[in-house]
Amino acid sequence: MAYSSDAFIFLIPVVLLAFYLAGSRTWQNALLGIVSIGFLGWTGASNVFVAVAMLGVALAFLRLGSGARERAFPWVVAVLLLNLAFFKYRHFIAGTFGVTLPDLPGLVWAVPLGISFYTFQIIASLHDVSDVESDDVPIRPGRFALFVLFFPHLIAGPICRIRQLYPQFNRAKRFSSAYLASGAHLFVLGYCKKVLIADPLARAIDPLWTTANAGHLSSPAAWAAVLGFYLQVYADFSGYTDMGRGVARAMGFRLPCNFRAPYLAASPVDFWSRWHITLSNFAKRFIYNPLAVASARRLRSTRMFGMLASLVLTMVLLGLWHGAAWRFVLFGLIQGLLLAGWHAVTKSRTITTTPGWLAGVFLTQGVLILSFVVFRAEASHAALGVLEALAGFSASRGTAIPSGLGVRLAVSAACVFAMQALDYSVKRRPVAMILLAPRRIPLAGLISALVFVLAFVFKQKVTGGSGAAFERFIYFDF
Amino acid sequence: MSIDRLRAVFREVFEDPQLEISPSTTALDVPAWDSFNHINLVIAIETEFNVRFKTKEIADMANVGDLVTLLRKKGTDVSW
Repeated sequence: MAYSSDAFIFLIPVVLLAFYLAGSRTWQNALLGIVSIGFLGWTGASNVFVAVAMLGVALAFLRLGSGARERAFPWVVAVLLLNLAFFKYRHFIAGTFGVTLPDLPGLVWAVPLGISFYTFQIIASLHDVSDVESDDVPIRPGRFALFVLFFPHLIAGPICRIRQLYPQFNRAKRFSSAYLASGAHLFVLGYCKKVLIADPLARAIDPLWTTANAGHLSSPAAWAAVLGFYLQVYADFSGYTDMGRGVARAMGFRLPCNFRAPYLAASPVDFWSRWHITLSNFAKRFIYNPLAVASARRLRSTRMFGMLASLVLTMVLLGLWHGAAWRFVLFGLIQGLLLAGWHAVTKSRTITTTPGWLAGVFLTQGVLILSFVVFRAEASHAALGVLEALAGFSASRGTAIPSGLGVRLAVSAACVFAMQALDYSVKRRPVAMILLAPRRIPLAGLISALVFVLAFVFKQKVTGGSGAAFERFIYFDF
Repeated sequence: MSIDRLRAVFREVFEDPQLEISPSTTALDVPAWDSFNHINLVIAIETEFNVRFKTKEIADMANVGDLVTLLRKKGTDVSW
């Protein structure tokens, strides 16, 4: 189910009411478990079966003693990754060897929803489970299952540290108007990003990308398609995260943030500390660190080479995680080379002088936008065609840009950059919190409600009830 | 004082001869201390103090205070 769907909008107040009426920890957790399974299985029960099967493996692991766990951990990781590889990559792997796999008889095994996320979530939490146990917090199977399947982060993250999220299920949540209000603000913000920025852009530029895949894009249309996607992907994914975090917060749960002004990053290193933060942290801990340490220990005098190669390989794997296609591998390779190039030249994370920072932002974002062409175009000839068109060498003069797209792009860009400017500093409190000084809660709530109603009405008008195609979030496909 | 050895490692790895460390120093306080250079720091400390860190320990060092505690657990005589 998508957070921006009408069904979710009507169901969530009911869920919130039932949650607070449930009163006790046991009943609240039971309700969350049922809602989460329903959320996952909304578009197909097979989504639930696969997730539950992997949870079964995790729960079996948790029954082991610490010595057995150390021996079993690599095997559990192998099972989880093989499961992911089977559902997501079998055709890609077979195709690389020139083999076409038949579909399994009687079954249509689409990629299970959320599999990329909960596979990583389970691996990370099984690795870290001893942290929680050493805090004297026992791991209960039902609560662990709920921690993984918790619907605000299940399908597309954020990937949470078990030590941060699991203990939050150990206490009943009492109603708090401050949490409800700040959660609602965050949800409305995310909803507006999705419904007012991401979806309208998608409707306008998807036909342009289809034309691009056939190789007939004019230069202005190429710029519109590429800038549109740049804005769309941020609004879509950060909007999803805001909605998930908002719903969680309304119930008294804290989920980590996933974005911190990535389009104001002045270096590749800065960018990846601001974009999809929880996935970057996962990759650093579980892919880069082991590879880099192992190679650095072996290659004492040339350890920089080992570390840079580990970094590139990590980014290639992250690229591949996004999807079973070479364009994602290429995207990862480009990002890896950018990061490696930066680290080879300087030890700084970013540029701090103002003119340098501005130049850095311009260059970093410019290169990012170009690498998004590789990400979005469906074939290499299409990507090359778009890049040529961006540079002004277009075979086609005639692709029409939808009327009003220029204005839409400008307004969307202004909104996206304004929101990110507010988000920029780590120490700055989120706007939602600033609005929630106790005396301002009623006013802030009123403003949020009004904005939400306007956005909801806009969505109904514009999609005429056929909005389902755009309710899916881009990252549901990864 | 053995904190001097640790401080010297930090200064060399992050190329800052004026760098000072305290128990609450974190990566956010040192401009060059990102996850890439963290590996340089880890290897330099392993070499200087003849210890070996596990992957979990490498990732979970929240601040220099934690690092010193960990080094003491591994039998070194680092102290503030």
